[in-house]
Amino acid sequence: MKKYSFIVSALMIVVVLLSAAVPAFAAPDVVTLGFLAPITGACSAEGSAARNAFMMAIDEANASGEYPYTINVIVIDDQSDPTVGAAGAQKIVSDPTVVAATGHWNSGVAAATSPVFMENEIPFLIWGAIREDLTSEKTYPWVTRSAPTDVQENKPLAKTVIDDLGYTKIFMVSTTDSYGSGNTVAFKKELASRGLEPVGVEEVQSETVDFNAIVTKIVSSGAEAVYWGGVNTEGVYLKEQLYNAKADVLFFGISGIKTDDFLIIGKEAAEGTFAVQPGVRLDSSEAGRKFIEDYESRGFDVAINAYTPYAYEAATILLQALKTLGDDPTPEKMVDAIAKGTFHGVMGETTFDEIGQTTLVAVNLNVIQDGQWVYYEDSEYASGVRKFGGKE
Amino acid sequence: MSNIILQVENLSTSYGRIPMLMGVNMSVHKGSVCTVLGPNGAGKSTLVKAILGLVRADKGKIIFMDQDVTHVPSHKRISSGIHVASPATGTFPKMTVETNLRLGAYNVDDKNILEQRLEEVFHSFPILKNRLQQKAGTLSGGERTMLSISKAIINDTKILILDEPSLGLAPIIVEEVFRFLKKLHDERELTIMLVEQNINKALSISNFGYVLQKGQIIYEGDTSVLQDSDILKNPVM
Amino acid sequence: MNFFTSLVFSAILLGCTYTLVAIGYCLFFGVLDVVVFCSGDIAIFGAFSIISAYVMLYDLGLFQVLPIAVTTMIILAVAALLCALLSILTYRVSIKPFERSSALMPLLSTIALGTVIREFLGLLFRPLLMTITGPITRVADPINITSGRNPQAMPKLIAPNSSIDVRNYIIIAVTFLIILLLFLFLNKTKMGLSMQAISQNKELAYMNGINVRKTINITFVIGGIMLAIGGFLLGSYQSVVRFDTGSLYGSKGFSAAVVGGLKSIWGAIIGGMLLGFVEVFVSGLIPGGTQYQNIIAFLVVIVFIVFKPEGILGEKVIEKV
Repeated sequence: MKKYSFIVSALMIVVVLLSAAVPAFAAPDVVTLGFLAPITGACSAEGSAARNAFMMAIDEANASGEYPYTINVIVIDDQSDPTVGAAGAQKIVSDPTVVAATGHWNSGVAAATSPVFMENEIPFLIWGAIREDLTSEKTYPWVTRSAPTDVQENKPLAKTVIDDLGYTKIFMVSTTDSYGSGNTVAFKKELASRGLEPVGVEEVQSETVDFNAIVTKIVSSGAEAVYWGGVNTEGVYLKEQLYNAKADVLFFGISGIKTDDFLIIGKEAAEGTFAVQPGVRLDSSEAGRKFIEDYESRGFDVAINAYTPYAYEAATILLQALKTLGDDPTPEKMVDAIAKGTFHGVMGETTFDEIGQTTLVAVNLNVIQDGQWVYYEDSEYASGVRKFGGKE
Repeated sequence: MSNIILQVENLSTSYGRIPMLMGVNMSVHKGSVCTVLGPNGAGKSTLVKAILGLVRADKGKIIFMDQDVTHVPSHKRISSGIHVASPATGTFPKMTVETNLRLGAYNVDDKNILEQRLEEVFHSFPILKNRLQQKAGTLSGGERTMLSISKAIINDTKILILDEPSLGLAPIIVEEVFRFLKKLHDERELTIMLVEQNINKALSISNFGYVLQKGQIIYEGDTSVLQDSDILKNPVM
Repeated sequence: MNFFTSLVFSAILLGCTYTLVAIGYCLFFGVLDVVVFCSGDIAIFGAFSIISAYVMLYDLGLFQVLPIAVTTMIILAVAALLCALLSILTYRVSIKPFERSSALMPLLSTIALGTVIREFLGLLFRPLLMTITGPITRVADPINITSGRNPQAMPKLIAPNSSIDVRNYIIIAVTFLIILLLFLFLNKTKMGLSMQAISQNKELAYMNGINVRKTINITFVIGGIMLAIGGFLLGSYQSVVRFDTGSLYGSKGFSAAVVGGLKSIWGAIIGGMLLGFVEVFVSGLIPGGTQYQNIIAFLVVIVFIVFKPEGILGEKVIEKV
């Protein structure tokens, strides 16, 4: 017993010393930001590229000497798991030097961590989770989002595929997770607003690998196009199996499949896949080209994908908000600086609306041609040399 | 080589923390028939398993043919000539008679020798030959006893340990089994260790006997002496 | 192919993939009475071994020189060897130390080992492969190695120049050939019979002089090889493998084995096919039914556990492993 009481009292002394020490070190020297992403787990490619881009922006800011303090980042790997994410959020809010946080590629994780940040009054900017209900009157102004929602993405996608390309017989397949079901609802709404009905709707559990029964159904339904409302992880299996069954359809989806990892199924199987990607074309602006160049010059082992510029954009927004607050930023000041500010980044000009949702909704259209993602406008599909499936 | 084929020296075993055998000493002479008698739960099965190496010895030694085998793995003890026939549990009921015999002769590698021994077995138990493709589980109690004994003796058996061969058999079958054992002993000069509850039958064919009770040998002696001993009149027996 | 035959065909193929994993469960459960939960992960490890061996052969330039049948055999041999090693490791690390503890311990430790195998593939597959072969871009043409956590393309080794249907027929045929070989092994060889003996009565197997320890080790080697071939076939069928699907195949294979009685290979085939048919037909025939396919498949399993806990072929079967 004696031994233990010694250890306990020693621990208590350490705790007292530490808690006394922390405020003394705080405010002026270090300002901390929280960053959350799935660095391991099923969505690690997206998460680690985002982490790389975010840290790139912070490193540049620290090196620029424009900030009177060092900007420190607590990086949390949420593993695409809401409980892991919530625990990480707790870790961030318990650090007294934290003034703001940004996070998540998975909507389910963002839904779990937003309340933590709100309760602790830390402004929270969502960079990559796109389910519509994550930003609302209830969460404003503590939660803001610089990425367009799934609804915002589905609108231009529906416009292109239905109105411009003229597809009307569409079969919808999505995952049952929050990302997939959000898309199902959003795209059905787009169809309904044009007086259309999907020729079939199937929802699969995430991690599904066998779509052959659905493929058989799609072929027999006479569908001209297949809408995939999920991410690349399951999407590649569906596309491969559609190809194997020689299904003559257009395969299209939102940004969840716009990643180079979709190309693994090979040139022939992936050909003609159509996807929207949020944001402006990076190569159309000076800032965008510089971002691509900087990222590639660092030799990261994961390539830029759809949301990587958004993580960079989130860093830009937080950094520009910090700059407006001089040498003493606090969470209370940051929340207004973010929600009411105007920011200029690689994507263009960002402001937030009355529920904290970005007003910058730009998408670009992409298609896989010869085993590469190319911008639709530059492709042989736009020029009429090649034809999408499902059409004469 | 001494005249003793199997010797157990001061053997103690336990199951978890419960002692099962406490300092058992016994020896089986070459060419003899030795009986171990004892009531249910006396430790007879444990003794058999310890000799085979299926139960670890906490203390003591097991010496087989002048070799200390206390720490030898059981499959090696068996291939060196200790074979057990246990009519109650000695057959695989879901396998055919043929497969059972093949598994019994697991360590016989020479095909010709195996054929020859099978012939001997069929000579003794012609019924088995007719039932080769039948599942062991469909055999009668007597046939199963014969199969389990056959499985043991188609090896180069140096000592045959019989674990309760009369268990659950009709008296007339018991008679037949013991007649066969006697013949086996007489013809092949096979050493037999008989573990039994059926006192009269056991003593009728054996030379020497041990009485095991609560994990200890409480009596040992020639069968002629043992037969008249008071110890067997004890109601627990 | 019309709608119905196409569904039947899909169901048989899916059933084959489940069966191959289920047989792994049966073999291991047979000799040890232990559920080796990482069986599915060993199969996926096999699929990744095949990708690695393929990339290495390609890198060495052998693939371009040798006929595809020879290279496929080399690749399969490498994968079989690696899976056999992993399988033995599974036994040594997560089963043998718990021999005298409750059956729950090896169950938990093999679940944990399954996670280790998955994460190993997800985190280290690509970097390890790259240290051996150098930058993967050199083999960019036939196969694309992405980061390990994303779906990986499986090399097209089975009838690469024929139609998909031909490939699928071969997959079904090979699955049944493997099962036939396993059946012959179990019933015609001494080692196979010893495995069955241990499965039916371990103590008696000891008493018959069977080297039980050696037999268990060999069972794990054979199980590993079986699972390697299973990984090859299911990877070839899907054309794509993902590091984390081992748990999915593990739970489906386990369910198939439970439905079939856990110790019987014929039961495993029936169980695997039953799951395949239930899943495909629920998804294919009910509009919007796909989201319920797993629920209904597992309901079938639960019904079996409640009403026929010994499995379809539980007690009556002869071909016990």
